[in-house]
Amino acid sequence: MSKILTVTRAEYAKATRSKAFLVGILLTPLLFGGSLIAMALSESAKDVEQRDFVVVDRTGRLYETLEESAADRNQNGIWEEDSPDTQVQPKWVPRLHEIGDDSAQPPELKLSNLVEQREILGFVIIGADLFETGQDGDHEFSWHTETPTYTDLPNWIERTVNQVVRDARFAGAELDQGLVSSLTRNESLKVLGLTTQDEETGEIVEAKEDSKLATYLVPIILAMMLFMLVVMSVPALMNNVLEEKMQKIAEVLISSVTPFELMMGKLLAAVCVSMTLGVLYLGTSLIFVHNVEGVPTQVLDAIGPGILMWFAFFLLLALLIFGSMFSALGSACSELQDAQTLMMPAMILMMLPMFFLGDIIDNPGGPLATTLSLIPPFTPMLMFLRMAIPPGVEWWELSLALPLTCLFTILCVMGSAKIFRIGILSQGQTPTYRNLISWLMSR
Amino acid sequence: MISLPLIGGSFLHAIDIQSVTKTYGEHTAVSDLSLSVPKGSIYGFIGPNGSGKTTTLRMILNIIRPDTGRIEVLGQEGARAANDLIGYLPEERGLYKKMKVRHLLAYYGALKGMTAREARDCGDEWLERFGLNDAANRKVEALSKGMAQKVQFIATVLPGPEMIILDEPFSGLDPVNLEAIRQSILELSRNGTTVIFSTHDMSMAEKMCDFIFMIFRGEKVLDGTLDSIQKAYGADTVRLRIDGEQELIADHPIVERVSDLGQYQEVRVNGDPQALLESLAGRTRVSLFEIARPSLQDIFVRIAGPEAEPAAEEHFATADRG
Repeated sequence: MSKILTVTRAEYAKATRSKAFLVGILLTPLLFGGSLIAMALSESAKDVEQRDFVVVDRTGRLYETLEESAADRNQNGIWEEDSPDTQVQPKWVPRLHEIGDDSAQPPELKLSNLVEQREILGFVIIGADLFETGQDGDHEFSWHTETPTYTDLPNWIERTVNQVVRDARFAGAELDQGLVSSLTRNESLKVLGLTTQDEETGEIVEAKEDSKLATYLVPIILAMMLFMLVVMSVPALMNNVLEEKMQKIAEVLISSVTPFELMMGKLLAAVCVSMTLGVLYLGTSLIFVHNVEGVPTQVLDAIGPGILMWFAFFLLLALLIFGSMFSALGSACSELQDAQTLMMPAMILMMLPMFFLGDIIDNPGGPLATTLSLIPPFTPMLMFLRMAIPPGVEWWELSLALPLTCLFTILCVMGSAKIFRIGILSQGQTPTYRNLISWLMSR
Repeated sequence: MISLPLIGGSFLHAIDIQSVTKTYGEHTAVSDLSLSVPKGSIYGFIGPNGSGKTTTLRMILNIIRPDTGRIEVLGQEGARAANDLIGYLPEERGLYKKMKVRHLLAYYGALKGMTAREARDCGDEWLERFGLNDAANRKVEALSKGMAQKVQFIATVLPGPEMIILDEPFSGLDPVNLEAIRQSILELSRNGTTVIFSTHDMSMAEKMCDFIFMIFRGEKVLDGTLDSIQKAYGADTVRLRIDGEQELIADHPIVERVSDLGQYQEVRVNGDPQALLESLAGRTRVSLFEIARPSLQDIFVRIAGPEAEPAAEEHFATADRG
């Protein structure tokens, strides 16, 4: 055991004193901060380029409204509130296409040419029967452009035209639009938690309103962080083993320690490095949420000590499972390229739970989520995610998953140690998975 | 082979290998090997590449286990605890390039059970001895090849092992560094450390080893003192230097083989060396003529060289049938 700890201490010191580790620690918040800065910069760099567009108004009644609304918006709606001289949105300038002014060419073609020549952004065609009632899609009402990703203008046209058309339809049917709106108003459904009773005082504690941040975002962020910590450590561990084998350091080491001690020392060092990163990232996040105003109390409750303990436990299991696997693969190879090929199936196994993240969040208690979270290599990430989403998991699921995963972890470490023992001294051709299985089965 | 018993709780053989065989699939790396290495001796392991030297060394270190047979090292059988008493210098050097020399020595020492203080004090002592004081705080990657080799040697001997196993300790060293390490090995030996080293440098083996062990195709083909080995191969060797055509030697009917060693020729004869001297003296000037035992180099070539191939094939075919 003391030799395992000696290797762990040395590997941990080597990893945490490296420039890559320090850069990695600083880079994550920098990237986070950088993205905030980028967002702030993009906010300040406003799009104020004027957009011209043409209206083909076959009703003969809508262009005027559009022109007036656009003029009103250009005068009042595109300036910064605090600083009326600062334009923050583009002007939209409509032009009317005179119907019948060019009989030789259909207006669509002529206007399309204008779009291609960048004279206008696009054109809207309003069919003559738009004021008629009917099914959706019965009437011609279309926006033509080369830049469909710019949606602000067509959305505004749609809203403005619909308002006029709706008013006209209500007036035609002799109905009071205000009354109809009031009668057909939707009632919003509040999502609340459960009502509880204080055990000491007997006081009824009213249900708290659900916080999307606490219910969805916190579990997803924690699960992603768990995944990220595993992905950051495990391939690095494989490279470390491979590098020591290639540089013949491994041969010196295993004259002093057993291959098992060497592998376990490295594995525990990887666990310690990941835990250090976890404490740093989670600690920073906790300090942040506790000191920023406006963070719902549900979020603070969602990142309680209980869930953090489970986070550490499942992170440990995931690192032992995948760390031992990747160490064994690293020991079996003699070149980095071969190792990358050999690690693909293990990498897929490690990433597979992430593909089901959406399904599990939608239905954390469903059969898919339950089944997948009971499969040992997926348990650390998926069971943890399910536990973090209210209301958590059933007791029997944990009672089944924990022994299964612990047993799988032990088997994984033992099997990997067997491959490691043979692989670390093997030279020459990189083994196939069939070879690895034969090593596993060997005496 | 004489087996020395355990006397008074001590043991006289640092290594005792009995009928050990190791195979890798179809290939037999070591076949039915028995070998005893007396404590405090310098034992040279020689043999061509791929003959089973490294496998034998790894079995001694308990890095790999034999399929059959028994290995006892420093009085312990199959226990890795003995490894803390053994220093191992592998053929290809293994040092952390990014680590500082002092940290590296402390780590390697700790793996052998030394405390940080012991490793630091001992390490400083050895660094001073090899003139590497200034390198203590430098990273390994900043050292010259010779310096790195000396650091690797220090890492091997740092914990004061009872036995050191050196795989090609002198390869790639310049004469100054070579001599420094050679002197250190001899001093360790004088202080009672058992030294096993494998080498392809036959003259170094002749100069340093108390015993020579040669393995060829997994089988022991030589084992004993240099004197006993040379005796076994007889006095059929003549060292001579002549003026003029060297063909005069090779063309002589009793000459079987000529090795040009630069300053003189080493000739293996099958007959009376006196007849060769008379014949040469009558035709040219002979400035050196010495009847000698065959050199280790010559014995090595006789066993493993191309001319020995048919005999070796026959030997191993017979062994296989047997």
